[in-house]
Amino acid sequence: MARRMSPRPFRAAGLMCGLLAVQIAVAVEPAADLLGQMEKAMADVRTVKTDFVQEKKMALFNHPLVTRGSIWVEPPNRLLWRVESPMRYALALDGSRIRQWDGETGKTTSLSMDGNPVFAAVTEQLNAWFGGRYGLLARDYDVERQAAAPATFTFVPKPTAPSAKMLESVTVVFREDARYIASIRIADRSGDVTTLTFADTEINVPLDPKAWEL
Amino acid sequence: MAGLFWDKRRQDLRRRSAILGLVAAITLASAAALPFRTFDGRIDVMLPDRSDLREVFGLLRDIQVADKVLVTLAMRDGSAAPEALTAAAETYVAGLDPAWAAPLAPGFAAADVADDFAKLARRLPDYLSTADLRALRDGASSAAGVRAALQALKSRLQRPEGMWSAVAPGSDPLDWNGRLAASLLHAVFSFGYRAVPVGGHLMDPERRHLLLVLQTPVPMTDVAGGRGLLAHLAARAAELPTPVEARLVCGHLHTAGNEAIIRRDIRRTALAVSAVFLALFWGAYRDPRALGILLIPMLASVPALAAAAALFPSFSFIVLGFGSVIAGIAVDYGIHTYVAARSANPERNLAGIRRPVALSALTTLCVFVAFCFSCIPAYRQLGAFASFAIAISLVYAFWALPPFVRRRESAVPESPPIAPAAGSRAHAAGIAIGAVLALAVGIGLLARLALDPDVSKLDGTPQAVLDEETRAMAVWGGGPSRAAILVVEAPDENEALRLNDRLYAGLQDAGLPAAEISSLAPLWPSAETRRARRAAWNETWTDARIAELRRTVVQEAAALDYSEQAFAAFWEQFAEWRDVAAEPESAGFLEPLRRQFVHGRDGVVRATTFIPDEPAWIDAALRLRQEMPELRVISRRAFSADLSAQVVGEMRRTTIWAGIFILLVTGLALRRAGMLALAVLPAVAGMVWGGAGMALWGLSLNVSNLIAGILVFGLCIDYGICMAYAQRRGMRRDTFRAVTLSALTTALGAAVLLIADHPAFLSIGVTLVFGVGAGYLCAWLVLPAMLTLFPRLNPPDADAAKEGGA
Repeated sequence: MARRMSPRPFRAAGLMCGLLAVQIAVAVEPAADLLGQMEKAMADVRTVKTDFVQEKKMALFNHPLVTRGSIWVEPPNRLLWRVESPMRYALALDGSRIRQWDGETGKTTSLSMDGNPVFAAVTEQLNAWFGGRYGLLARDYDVERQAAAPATFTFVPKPTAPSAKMLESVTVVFREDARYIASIRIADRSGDVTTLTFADTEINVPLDPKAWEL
Repeated sequence: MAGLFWDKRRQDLRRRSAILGLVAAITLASAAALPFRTFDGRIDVMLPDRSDLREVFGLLRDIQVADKVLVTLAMRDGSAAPEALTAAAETYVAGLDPAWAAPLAPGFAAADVADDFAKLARRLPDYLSTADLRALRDGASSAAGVRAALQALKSRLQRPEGMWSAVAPGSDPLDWNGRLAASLLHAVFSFGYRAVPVGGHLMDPERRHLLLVLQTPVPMTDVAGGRGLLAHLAARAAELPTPVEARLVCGHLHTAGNEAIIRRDIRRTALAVSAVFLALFWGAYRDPRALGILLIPMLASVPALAAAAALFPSFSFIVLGFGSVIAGIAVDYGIHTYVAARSANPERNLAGIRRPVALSALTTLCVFVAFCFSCIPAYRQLGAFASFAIAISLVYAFWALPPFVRRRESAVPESPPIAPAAGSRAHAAGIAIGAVLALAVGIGLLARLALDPDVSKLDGTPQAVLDEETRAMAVWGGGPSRAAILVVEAPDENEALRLNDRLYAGLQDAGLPAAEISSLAPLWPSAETRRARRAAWNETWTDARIAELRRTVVQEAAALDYSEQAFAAFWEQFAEWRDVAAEPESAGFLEPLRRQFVHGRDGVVRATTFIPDEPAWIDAALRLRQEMPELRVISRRAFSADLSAQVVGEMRRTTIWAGIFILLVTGLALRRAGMLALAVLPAVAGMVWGGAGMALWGLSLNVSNLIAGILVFGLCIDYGICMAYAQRRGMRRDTFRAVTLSALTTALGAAVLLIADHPAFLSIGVTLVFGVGAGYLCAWLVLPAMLTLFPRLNPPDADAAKEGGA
């Protein structure tokens, strides 16, 4: 109501509680030692530039959906996801700013993660999985090493994790040098499976900062 | 015999040992009672009771989450270190004692949120307004609408966000539930906050700050509990790693800060007034016993406070801050008594001063007694405290002081009388013209004064606390909240929600965009609204229309390679939308929000809505109030206007009563119209220049300093009475010095308020210093001049003149 009475912070506190309720639902929590090792292996990675093929096998469609494109990563919070086929699309995450370009309309839209917790949670996941920040995933997933060479880990959502309702497991296969991932396989509880395979990966090459401008 | 007995008792009471014993007993007994009284620094003590304003203030306290504490963790070097902040948060939370504070329990399991959205999806028709329903029927269900929706779904699934979709895409091909969820989330997040989830905590998007929301069982108004809470949180902050700092925002900081500042002001002003008075009395009388004058108001204030505090459930620290002013007033009686008791003929002189001094005390008491009948609690408390202090000081001055004053050893002759009127008629006319000009200037300045009804400005919360809130606002968003609060009240929640829906619709009908309204209505419609919407849904979605939609979906889906059974889940849900009864569905993730908007207390349920505090929207809300008597509009603007009206009315009443009391007492005592007219002159000059001083200082009138104006009237009329009385009886230099000294002590007692930090005190200090100064100058200079010009106003007593000249 008033400056000195400062009802602002009181109201803010209350509304924060509402926010907390929703946001905590999409939040992820701490990690285990294995993940620390994986993060350590990727610690000297300053940039990543890689092509990818995404294949989604879904009950919803008669045939798999195959998408090709490239991903640029500049940890901790810059990620560029370009889709070249079958449609053209780009998503750039730069700190708290998100820009999307739609090849069909040619339009670029900007949005901020401020006040957009759902998108914030998705970008958090993207940054974690593709930026090598596995420590952020540990609280919601049980991690198991499937193979030593190439290093292969399976992440199974804990029953209390929000993702447990939808996700069966995520399997991450590392490159031989363990400096970046070779593929990710996401299995849904519905039986749908998404596989991303990375190729022509370049580590610590200069990335054009203007690329994030879209 | 009985006469002798009482004479003996009276003599006993005048013995020094008896006086010392009695005064000590009264002081100690009163001091022992003080710890059992409650004191606080709440500013709502300045709000009139018997009015809506007090209730509104209480309501604001209830609904503004006074039991929450925001803790912001950050790296001291400003760097982004989410992992370090997460670890620090866990350390901080682990050390919390739930008796003081606990992290806010979300009230639901995070894993259940997907189920919550599924539940809400089953109730889709309950959330669709008439316009929404029409849009679904006419646009989204057409062949083009369905094609666009299915194409968008396919594109979305191939984008990165499609990898972590929380909803099975087959259950919502047309994105109807997606749009519902988006609108709910938009409503939830339309407040502009910037917190994002990181590692199970809320952080700012830059990952430089981490937010913890704590809930505390300690009420904001519990001063001692608040201190304990803050100490507990400070101890937790001290356990954090050195690079991490914890910053707090909570109402308890306001309470503690306000109280600390008032306590410090009381200490500072008490010390300052004591030092000033000691120097003054020593300078004037060079007698260590003169210091006893100072003891009178000090000793009187203890029983006065104990007695006054016993009359109220809680006593305000702000009122206590007036102690130096009251001391400045009450010390006058001791000065007069000391001067009389020190003279060559103490018995006669003491008898001689009793009447004017008692009259002076009585006129001051009139002001404070008038305050006792005020509807503003702070005025009542001040009235009671000051009345007791003045009465006890007067008794102490007449009874306890004289035996301790040493009569002058040498036979000092009585000081000669001052001429009854100063100077020639020409000189007097010059003074009178000067006084008229000064009064005119004062009135001109007074006209510039405006009333500032913002009670919040009397809050002495330290700037550091306010800066911290601003900083938190900058980090977590929320913006400058100048929102007006609309409240609907009902005996039960369902009725409150029904009224809330009506209010929401009414505001939109008035042209207020939905984005500007923060309301629970779109998130939590009432049962009545749900039933109406469900009926409209069933009326719209006839069997024929459903069959047509199904045909369209199958046709468009096939063209995009969707499988035959792709949307079986959607059609199952469609059937449910027609069959499920219109009942509120419990959605756990919305529950905290509901608790924030709906408040039940004492059999009344209130639902709140926030809108911009703009005149157009407030007018719209006030118009709605005519149709909805259950609606309360809590607007800063409306609040200020109401408070202005009530306070001005209150001051008018108090002034009239005080004026009547004073004039009655003065008139009865003086019994001469001319003398009365002269006595009133300094009071008028004091009031005019008290206000003028505030204008010169750049201050506004407010609830606290308005009382200073009345006080100036009561004090300055004393100078008028004393001077008129002395002029009539032939003033002696000692008397003149005593009057001067008493004016000086009053002004100095008020002047020490100028060193206070609390905003309530400064303006009172300014008003009193200017007012009392002007009143005294008027009494000293203008009254004699008026007598020179109009000698018939106050002709000297023949006997007194003879006596004075003797």
